[in-house]
Amino acid sequence: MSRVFFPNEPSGVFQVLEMPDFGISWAGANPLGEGFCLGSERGHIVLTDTKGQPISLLGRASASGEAINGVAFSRNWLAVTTRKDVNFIPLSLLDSRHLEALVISGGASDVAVAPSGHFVIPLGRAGLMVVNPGLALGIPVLLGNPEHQGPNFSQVVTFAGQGGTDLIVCAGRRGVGFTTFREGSSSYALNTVRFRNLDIVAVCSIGVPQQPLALVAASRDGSLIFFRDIVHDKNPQTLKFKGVSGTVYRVLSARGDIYLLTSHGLFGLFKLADDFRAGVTAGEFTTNILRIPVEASDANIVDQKWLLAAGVDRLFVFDVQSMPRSPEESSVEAKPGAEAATNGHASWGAFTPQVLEAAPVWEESGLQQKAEAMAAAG
Amino acid sequence: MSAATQDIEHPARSQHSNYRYLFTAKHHGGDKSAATWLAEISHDTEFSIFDTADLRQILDSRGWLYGVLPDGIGELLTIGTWDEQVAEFQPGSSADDTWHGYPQWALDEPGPPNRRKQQCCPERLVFDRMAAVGMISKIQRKRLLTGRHA
Repeated sequence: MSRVFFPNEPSGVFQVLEMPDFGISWAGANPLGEGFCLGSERGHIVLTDTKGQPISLLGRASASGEAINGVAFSRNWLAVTTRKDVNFIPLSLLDSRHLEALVISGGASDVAVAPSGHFVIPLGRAGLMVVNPGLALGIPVLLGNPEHQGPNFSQVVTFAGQGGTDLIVCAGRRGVGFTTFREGSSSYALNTVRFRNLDIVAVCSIGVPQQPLALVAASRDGSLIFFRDIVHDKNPQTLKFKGVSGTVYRVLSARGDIYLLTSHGLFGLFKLADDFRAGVTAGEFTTNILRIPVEASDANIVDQKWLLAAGVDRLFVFDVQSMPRSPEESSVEAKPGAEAATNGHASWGAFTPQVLEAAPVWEESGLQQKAEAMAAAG
Repeated sequence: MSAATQDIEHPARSQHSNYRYLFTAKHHGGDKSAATWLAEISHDTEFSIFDTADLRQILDSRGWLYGVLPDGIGELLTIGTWDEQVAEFQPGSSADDTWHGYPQWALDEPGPPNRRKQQCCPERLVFDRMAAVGMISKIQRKRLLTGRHA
């Protein structure tokens, strides 16, 4: 593999923002405008500009004071999730030092906003929670796993479904699950697809107007499953690259590229989403893979421009629109001995994927619906 | 794996505190609603997680012990049927009583505020102690603190 050095430059492809006292646990888009939103291990959130300079300290956003793992905003409500609680904060209170939230006891691992504006919150083995953030917060609808069977809902993405519905897709450890949500429906079907020996931990939309329901799912071991249309593609393509290692934490996509955050670093798989959507057959192409050895616990794409990765006590910011897609595009050569802000030098390789015989098994089951007034002022 | 129908005590005691340890039928398939060890986790492996937790003194504020199962190359293995990676061990009612353990769920269970569940996922200090003694990395600590797989 050839190597490349990424200098830490505020105006460059890559920058490191040191945050020694914040205890960063999550980083994503500023829900109120341009810039970033950062969550801490103690349940605080802060809004920054794209240089990481704080523009608003929102204070403690988790009643339990636990590490933030998700933030989303819809219709004047901020939803903040931790492993112990789900917090809904009205916009009118965002300027308060101590946020008064409506709090649901019980943990979640993510939160997303569906096209309808509803919050969609995976609760692990307990199921999914959907909340309508209207003028007042709606009663949460819990779509539960009967007797705790079925997926372990860990991360969600949402799409516009047919007839004004929301299509909710989940990484469910035992596979990928999807359901169509319409408020007031009396029953919900959960479609799941399982793969032999694959532990699905992350999903990401790779949709474009021509293929709006295209999706990539990632297995914990780095295998990737590509769906041309999550609802109708019953034979997704399953690939694995030797150039990817470590336990997968997150899969992301921007500019037709795929990014995998693993325990071994950030891996850029360039043009892979483009190649898949163009119908290139596995085995007929090679993918340039850039491994950047950052140590990060989570990552998100912001505005299709920035990739934010939350490190131990620093935030890594990548400009994904300017990221080189091949060694030839790398403007800066390896500099042995130079300070490596990424804990080491990045390295390039070109890999042909291995096609896996993952034997997808599709199932349809019911989700138990329960609406409960679970929130309390916290 | 066939469900266990009786509790079995391990023949050895823990190195540090001389604790006795019981493999309970409840957490080995005897109770479908209870946290359950993966079938491939042998009794010796389960005891080794407990023994290491005691040796390293990975305690919460109640004095309960916690452990993980490293794979030898820096990753954590799954130990429970619901993808759990952390084991919780609780003492018996008296000092010489047996301890027992089970995979601990990563997220607190949902419930209405007037039915708040007992503490479920481990306290922060558990992961702090694991990281301090090198049982887990700083990134794995953050992953577990956020209720995610590490």
